[in-house]
Amino acid sequence: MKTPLALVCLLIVPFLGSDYLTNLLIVVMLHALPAIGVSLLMGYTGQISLGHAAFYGLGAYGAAAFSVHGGGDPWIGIALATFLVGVMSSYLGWVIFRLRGHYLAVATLGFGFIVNIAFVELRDWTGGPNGLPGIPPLDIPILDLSFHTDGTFFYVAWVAMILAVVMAQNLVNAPVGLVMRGIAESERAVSSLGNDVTSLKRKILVISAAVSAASGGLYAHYIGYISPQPFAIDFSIKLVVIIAIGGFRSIPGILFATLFVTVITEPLQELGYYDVVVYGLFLVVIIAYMPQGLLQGAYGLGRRMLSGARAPAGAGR
Amino acid sequence: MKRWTGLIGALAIVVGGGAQAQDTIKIGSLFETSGFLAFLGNQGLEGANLAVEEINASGGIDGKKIDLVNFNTESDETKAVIGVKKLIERDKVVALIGAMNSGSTFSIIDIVQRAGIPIVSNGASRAISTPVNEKKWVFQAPLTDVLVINVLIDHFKEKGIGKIALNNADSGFATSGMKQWQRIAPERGIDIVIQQTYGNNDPDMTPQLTNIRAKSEVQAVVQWGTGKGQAIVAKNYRQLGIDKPLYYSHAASDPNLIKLAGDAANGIIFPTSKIAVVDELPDSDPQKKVTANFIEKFKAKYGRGPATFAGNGYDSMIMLADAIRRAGSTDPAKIRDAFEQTVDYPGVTSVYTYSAVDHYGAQPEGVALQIIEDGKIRLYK
Repeated sequence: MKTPLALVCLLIVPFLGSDYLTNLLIVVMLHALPAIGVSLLMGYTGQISLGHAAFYGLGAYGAAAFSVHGGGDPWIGIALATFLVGVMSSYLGWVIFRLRGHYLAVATLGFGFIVNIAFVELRDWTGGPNGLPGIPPLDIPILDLSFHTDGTFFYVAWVAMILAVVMAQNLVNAPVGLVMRGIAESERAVSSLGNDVTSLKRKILVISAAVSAASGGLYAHYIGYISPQPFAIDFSIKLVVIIAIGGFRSIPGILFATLFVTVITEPLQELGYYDVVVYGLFLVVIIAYMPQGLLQGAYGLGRRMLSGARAPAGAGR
Repeated sequence: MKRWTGLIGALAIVVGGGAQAQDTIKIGSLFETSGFLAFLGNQGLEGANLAVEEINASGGIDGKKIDLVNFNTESDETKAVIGVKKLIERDKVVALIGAMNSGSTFSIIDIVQRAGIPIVSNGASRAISTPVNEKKWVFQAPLTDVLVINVLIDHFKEKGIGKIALNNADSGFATSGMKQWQRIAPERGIDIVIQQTYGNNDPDMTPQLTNIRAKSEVQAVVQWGTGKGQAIVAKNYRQLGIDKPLYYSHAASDPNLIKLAGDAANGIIFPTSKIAVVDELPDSDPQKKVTANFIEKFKAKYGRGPATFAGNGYDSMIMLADAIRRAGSTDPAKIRDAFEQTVDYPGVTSVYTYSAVDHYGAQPEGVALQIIEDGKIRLYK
C-alpha cells in the first residue's frame, strides 16, 4: 500500500497556486485510469487491446449525453455510463475473446474505429464532428461543493485515481492476480488447473473498460466540451505506449509513465513537425534497453552508476 | 520511497521556470505545428510571425515590442486546454490568437471566458463566437461558412438558379456547412432538391453523384468538403458527364485540388478571399494594397507563396496589435473593448467589422468568386 500513501503527497499540488501545473496533473490522473485498465488487461492478463479509447469515449459521451440531453445529475450520468460500458464490454468480450494475438488486436482496433465513427455520425446525440458543448461541471449541492475550477476538480480526479490504484493493486495481489499472469504466460496451463480462462478474461475486460469509461465521464464534465477527436485511435495507441514505458505489469510504473508521457511532450512541442521523431526515438530506447519500464530501468541504471562510482572500475561484477 | 524520487524530480522540472520581467507585450498563440492539422497551424503561425516582425520593425506598439509565444496544441483538444492555461498563467499573455482547429477552440472557450483574456480564433465554425452574449471574449477572423454561403446565394439569384444539389463530406467543416445551407437556402428561396453525404476518406463519390445526376431539375451542384475528397468529386463529376455548373466551398483555394484533379478542376467556381487573384483586382479594392504587401513580404521571408491560412494568422495578429494601440493599454479588458470596435479594417482574408453583436467580423465584400481555368485560379467575371 505504499503507492496510495505516496500519492497523498500530490494533494499539496493545488496549493502551489499554479493552474497550469494543477491542470497538467489532472490530465495525468485522468489518463492514468484507462492506462491502469489497459495494464490489467494487456500487461497482467496478456490480452492486447487497441480499442480502449472507445471505452473512454463511450464513458465521456454517455455521461455528457445524460446531462446535456437528459438534464440528469452528472454523477448519476457518470455512474450509468460506466455501468453500461461495463455491460457492453462483457458482451464484447464474449465475441472477441474467441480470438487471440494479432486477430484480437485487429478486432479491438476495429471496435475502436466503429465507435469513433458512431461519435461522428450520430449527430443528434453527439453533435457530430463539431462536438457537444455545454456539459455542466460536477457539484455536490448538499455540501455546497462545486468542482468547476482546477483546484477543486483536482480532488475528484485524485480520488478516482486512488480508487483505481487500490482496486488494481488488490486485484493483482489477490490469487486471481496470479491466474491473470498465468493466462499471459500460458492459457493452456492455467485452464488445465481448472480455471475458466474465457470467463476471467471477460471479467478483466469489464473492469478495464469500466475504469476507462469512468475516467471519460470525469473528463467530459471537467473540460465541458467533447468531440470525437480525443477518443480516436491515437489515444488507444498512446495508452499502449504508456504501459510499455511503464513496464506492462507495474501500477506505480504506469502512473509514472502517464506522467512522463504527458510532461515530456511539453518541451517536445517546440520542435513542431519533428516532435514525433524524437518521441519515437525515446520509445525505441526505452523499449530496447529498459524492458521493465522506464521507472525500473532508470532506477537500475542509477544504482549501477552509483555502485560503479563506489567500487573501482571493473570490479562491479 | 525509491520509486518516487523520479516523480518528485519530474515535478520539480514542471514547477521550475518562472515568469520574467517584461517590457514587451506578450501575446499567446495556439497554432498546431504538429498533428493532423499541422498544415494549417504552421501557415497560421508563419503569417502571425510575419505580422509580428512587421510591427516590431516599425517600432512596436508605443515603443513596446510584441513577443509572440506559441504553444503547439498538436491538433489535440486536451493539449489545447493545457496550453491555454500555460500561456495565461506562466507567460502572462494579454491576448490570444489561434487555434485553427474549431474543436481546440471550443474546448478552451470556457477557460478564456473565465480568465477574461480576449482570443481571436482562426477556427471556421460559426458556433465559436455565437451567441455573442455568452462569448464576450471570443472573436473570429477567418471566413465563415455562413458568409460564403450568402455570397454564393447572391450569385445564384443573379443567375436565376433556384434549385440546387448539395454534396458534402462528413467532416466537421462540411457538416457545419451542410447545416448552414439547409438553414439559409430555404430562407432565401433556394431549394435544395437533393443532399448527399460522403465519407471524408472515401475513394469514390460516384454513388452520391449518380443520385444527384438523376435529379434533372437541379440547376447547379454545390460541393462542400476539404482535402483530397474535393479532387475525387471533381473527377467523378466529369466522368459521369454531369453538365451543370459545379460550385465549391472556400476550401477549394487549395493548390492540391488542381494538382490532384488536373483537367477535371477546370470550371469549378468558388467564393474565397482574394490572395490568389490579387493581380486582377481593381486598384480601388481596399484589400489590394494590403494583400500585395503581404504576399511580397511572405515570399521574401519564407521563399514561397502564402496560402489562405497564413493570411488568417497575419490578419489576427495585425488587428490585435491595432486594437492594443487604440486601447493605449495592455489591459485585456481594454484590448477586448477596442477589438470589438474594429470597423472596416482591410485585411488579407477579408474586410473586418466587429461589433457588440457580431464577433466574426469578416464582411461579404472580402469574398470574391473565383474560377479555375486551365489549371489556374482566376477572378470570376
